[in-house]
Amino acid sequence: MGSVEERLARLEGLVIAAGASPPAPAPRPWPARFAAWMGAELPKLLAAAVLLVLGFALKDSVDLAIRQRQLDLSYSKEMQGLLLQLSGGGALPQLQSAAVVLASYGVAALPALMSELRYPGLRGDAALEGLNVLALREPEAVCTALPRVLALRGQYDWLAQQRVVLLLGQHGCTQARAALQRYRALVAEAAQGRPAAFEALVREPPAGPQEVYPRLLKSVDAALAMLDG
Amino acid sequence: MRAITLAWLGGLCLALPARAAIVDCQPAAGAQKFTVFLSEPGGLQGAALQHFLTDLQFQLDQSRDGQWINRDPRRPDVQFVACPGRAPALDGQDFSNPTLIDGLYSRRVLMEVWGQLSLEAGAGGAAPGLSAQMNYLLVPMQFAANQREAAPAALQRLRYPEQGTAAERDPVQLISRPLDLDAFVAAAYGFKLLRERQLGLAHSNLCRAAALLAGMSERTLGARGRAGLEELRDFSLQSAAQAVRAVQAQPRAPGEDKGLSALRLQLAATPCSK
Repeated sequence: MGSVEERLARLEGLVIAAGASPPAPAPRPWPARFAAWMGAELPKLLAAAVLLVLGFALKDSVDLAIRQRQLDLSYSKEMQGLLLQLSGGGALPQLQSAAVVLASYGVAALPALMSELRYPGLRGDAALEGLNVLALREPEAVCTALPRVLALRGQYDWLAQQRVVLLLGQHGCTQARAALQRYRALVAEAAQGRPAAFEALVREPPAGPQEVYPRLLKSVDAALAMLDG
Repeated sequence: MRAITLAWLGGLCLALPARAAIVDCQPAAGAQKFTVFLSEPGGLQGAALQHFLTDLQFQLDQSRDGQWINRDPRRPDVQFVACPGRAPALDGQDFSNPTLIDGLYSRRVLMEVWGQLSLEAGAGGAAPGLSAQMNYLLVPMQFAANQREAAPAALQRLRYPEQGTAAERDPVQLISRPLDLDAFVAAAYGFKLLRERQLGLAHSNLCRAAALLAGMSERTLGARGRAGLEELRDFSLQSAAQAVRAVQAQPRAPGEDKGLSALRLQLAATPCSK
């Protein structure tokens, strides 16, 4: 603690220091400056920008949808010739070739190939080949669509279903596991002498059921094992 | 008759080399029916070929039903179906496709018959006669082989006419007369029925096949042909024994068929002895 003079001198120094000019404020970021500069016009500008982006995006998706429709239409016309070939009763290599070319149209060919699978004989054999090729190219689409074959009532015969079961297993369609298990339960019930539910599912009851049901069970078990493996 | 024969011979003379093609053929309608496909033989063309298939189907359907054992003799289980345009390769390579066999088997096709017909000059200035190499694909046996199960050779080949028989100028008579077809149908039918667990009927047909095949083996056949037939006969006997064992293993059902009851007393070691 100094003398009174010393204390006064220190206070005087502090007063002088406090009286000095304050430091310059830090510069504001540019958005704030821009907002300040725009003032009341800023919301209008923002609305215009949002509209521009939305319009651009919408135009693109509408354009894409139109183009997709045009492509589907042109695919349908081109696929019609191949479908006629498949139904024309040619030799097996020609039918298989038509089905494989059909599969090259991708997802657009899936309904046609699934429909062809309903026919017995070479036509169904060729459709299976087409679906096999399509599953190599579009596994997701095929794995999602094919399990319906195991649930649609009165559309497919047991042989087509057996082929679908094996195809689902061979292509590792894990999303089909539940459908396969439901189908297995129906077949197992039929094998135990209660075929009503299974017979309602297939186009016509199998001839020689005592052989068919164990065959189907074996196929479903093989497919499930492939999915687990 | 003379005109028909001349037409056949004309068809043969005009015939071009056969073009192998597997086209679809619809099996007999009806869930309980079994089918034998009569495919186009090489060596015939045009109207002669069409007549041949129609006549052969008619001949076989009319005269062959009694040669194997049906559920109901008035309504035969096995039908012959002519398949115009279907001409498998003579070496049977088309049937190496398992999907094709699976489709045939699942539609209850028992057998496919095709072959090659040719006109051969008669020995010592005799009139020319027809000869044929016929192929018989036993579909259930091929299916079993594809499943890696024990099975005899599914493709049987025979030549007609046999040595020492008179020359034949009608191809339908040449092919439809021998009992060979009956033996093969009975074997394929019996084996398919065994797999479908229709044990009594399976046993009857397999025993019938074994007897017919034994008769065929005694004829003048090549060593390879005889070996194939003997293998098929042994397989038919083994399958008949399997049917006997299966019947004996299952519990007796009330009102059981007499045939099945008889099989309960049969020795599996001699499944076809009376």
